[in-house]
Amino acid sequence: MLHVLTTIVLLSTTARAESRSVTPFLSMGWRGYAMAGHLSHGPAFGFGASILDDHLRIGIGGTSRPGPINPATFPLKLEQPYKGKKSVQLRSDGGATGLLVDLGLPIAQDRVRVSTPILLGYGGYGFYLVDEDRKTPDGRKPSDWEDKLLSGADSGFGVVVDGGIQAAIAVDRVVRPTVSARFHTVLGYDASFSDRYAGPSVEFGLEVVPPRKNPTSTGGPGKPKE
Amino acid sequence: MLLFSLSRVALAADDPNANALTTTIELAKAEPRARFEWRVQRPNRFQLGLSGQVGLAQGLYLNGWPVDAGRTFTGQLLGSFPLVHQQALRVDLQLESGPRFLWAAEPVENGQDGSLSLATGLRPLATLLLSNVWDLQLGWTARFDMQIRPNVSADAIGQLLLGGAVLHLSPNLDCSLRVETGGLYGYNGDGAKYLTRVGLGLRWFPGRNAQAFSNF
Repeated sequence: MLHVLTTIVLLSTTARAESRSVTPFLSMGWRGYAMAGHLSHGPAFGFGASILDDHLRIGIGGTSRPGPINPATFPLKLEQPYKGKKSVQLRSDGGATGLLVDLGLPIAQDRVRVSTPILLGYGGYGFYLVDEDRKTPDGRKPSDWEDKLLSGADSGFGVVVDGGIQAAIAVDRVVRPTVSARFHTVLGYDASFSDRYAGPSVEFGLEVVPPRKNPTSTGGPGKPKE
Repeated sequence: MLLFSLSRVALAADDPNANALTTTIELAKAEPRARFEWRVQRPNRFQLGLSGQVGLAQGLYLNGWPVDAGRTFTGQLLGSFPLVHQQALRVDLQLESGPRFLWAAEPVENGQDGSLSLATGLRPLATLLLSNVWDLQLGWTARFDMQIRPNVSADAIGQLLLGGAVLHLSPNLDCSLRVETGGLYGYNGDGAKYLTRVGLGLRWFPGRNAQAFSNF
């Protein structure tokens, strides 16, 4: 990750003196997921270098699906009672970070940039005790009990692949609203509560891409409309 | 005392270095805190600075155990690297890192009542200069806070989306409102899971127009 960021800084610094053939891009959004048999939501982000007249973006990106802001709970029936209860409600959280590659094309007279963002990284999702159940009966940490109740597999981690199609609408030269439809999966995910954490998502967001200063450039909505 | 000392340093400095002193109140359920910051900006818009933060531990974690009452003290070095500087847009990559001391009012385990962490944040930040009166900020912060003592463990790792506005009150005074929100992970799942923080700040630019600064 450090190498990618260093490259972005160097490329962007160089670009300032060379008619901005490389510029940074920054994206942020909020996603709704239909993963693991329930609906959830969470933030998403991206940052990197835009090259080839904004036809290609390379950087880092990520997503998260925080537990506390998602109401979905997951009932777990217990073989042995926990604090006198035969079942507990769990929540889920997780996320991913990795390399972001985004190939894009301008359409509709540069008013829309259609692209195919792909995130290849590492991440995972897990299930955890909530509220009063986090106060364990023997003073051990909640994660110890989660391991015990879920047979040592309260979470799963692996290579994350996240890809789809995105449209960025050039209502402004710099800031553009985006909407995308994607599919998100953790390869090899295997937690005792679920053997799959994958599904479609929809993201609404904003992206910031500096206008290019080179008037001879041809391409994306980043081109200044003099 | 720190603020006074820093302000004297800032006042003593002349162009081409622009100086800024900032006081921010950051409200968060887990750790409301006051932040004091001094930055100097070179003509190439590279910035260096120092910050000190004093906070209340109301929902932090020490070695994975919750701390509901205590104090925090954080000192960080700041760096801001300019990536884009245009008439209406500035993009910077900011890095901040330094020690955070956490003292718990009640020992959590084995008599442990304190911890030392290295708090690091990396933030791509876009500043949109909407008018002479105010700016809009968009970005996100990648947080990597590592507990070093009493033992080594990831304290808080995650990304916070950031949105903010800067109001230019006078040529030498700005105020800002910043909201950050996002998921966190630490201590093998026993740490913080989510953070929303609202910051209200005042920044003073001794002897220099506020808009000379690349970002807030």
